Amino acid sequence: MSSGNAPSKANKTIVDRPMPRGKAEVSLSSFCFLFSEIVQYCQNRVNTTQELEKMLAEIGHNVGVRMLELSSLREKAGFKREIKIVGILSYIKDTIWKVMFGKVADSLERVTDKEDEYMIHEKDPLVNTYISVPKEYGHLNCAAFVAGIVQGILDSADFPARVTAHTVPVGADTRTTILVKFTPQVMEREKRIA
Amino acid sequence: MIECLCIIEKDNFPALLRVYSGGKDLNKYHYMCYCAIDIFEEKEQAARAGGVGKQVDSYLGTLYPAQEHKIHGYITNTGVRMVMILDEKDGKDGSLVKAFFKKLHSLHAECVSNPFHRDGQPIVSKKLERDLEALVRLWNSDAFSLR
Repeated sequence: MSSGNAPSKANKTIVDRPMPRGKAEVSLSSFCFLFSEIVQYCQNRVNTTQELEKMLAEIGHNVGVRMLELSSLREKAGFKREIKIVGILSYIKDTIWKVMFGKVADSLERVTDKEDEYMIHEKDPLVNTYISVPKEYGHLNCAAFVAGIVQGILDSADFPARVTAHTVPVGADTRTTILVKFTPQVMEREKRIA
Repeated sequence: MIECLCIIEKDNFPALLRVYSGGKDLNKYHYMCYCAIDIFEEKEQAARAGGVGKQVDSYLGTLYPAQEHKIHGYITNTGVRMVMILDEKDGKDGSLVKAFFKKLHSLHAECVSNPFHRDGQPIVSKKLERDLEALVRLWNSDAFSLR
């Protein structure tokens, strides 16, 4: 069938070759190196710890917005848009965490007295692998970057919330908690749906 | 028993010097590490004189004879030198010392990967302190193994 054709010029130029699938994983060293440079970049441009966390969160926000689009596109079984709080948070805790860190988050729980606050627990966030915060920086937690990612995802999924990362001492060790506080509009909408 | 650990970075700058003998005779250990630098340079010279093909083993073995102490040296491929001073009663095998140095090397690498690490200044890192303490305790209690 194709024997009579002129030799095809396909696969000669790079734009004709099929796009490679790409590896799903990046080495930990490359990522930590990039993240370390991001932290140093922010450090040189801010004066206080709060500003540093805010800057990391902003960078994370941009990542989160794109993360939601990308992972919902790649979902094999057809992505169903989440409309409930528990739904979107479970999606973040399981799917997004698996895509980003190769494992699901440790746990998700609701703050006992408040119905608009939820917590995602993580014993050792991957981004903090090689980070040791000196004393002058107080309670800085570079997982503010991860909190920014979560905020980006929630914002673009139409669940506006305030997301922050906290270091919680648990016995002798410390654990990182991502605290999510939803806006009143989200709570009202949730009540109407339920 | 480990008496002293020292990490010397480029320009012979002591990035880390920890003395575990209870705080007495601090100067003695500074002096011993300082003398060790000479031996390091000597070995490096020998390696360079031996031609490009000569491989230098990271673990340099016992650096120089000293009474009451055993001084071991290790050099990384980035030129960072590490000194370990044991008291003479410590009879651990050379391979264990080598494994210890490898662990110390990886701790140093993790330390440098910290974005808050400043080049040319003494290493300040809570994580390093924790890990180093655990490592030294493991060694002193004879529980350190080649794994």
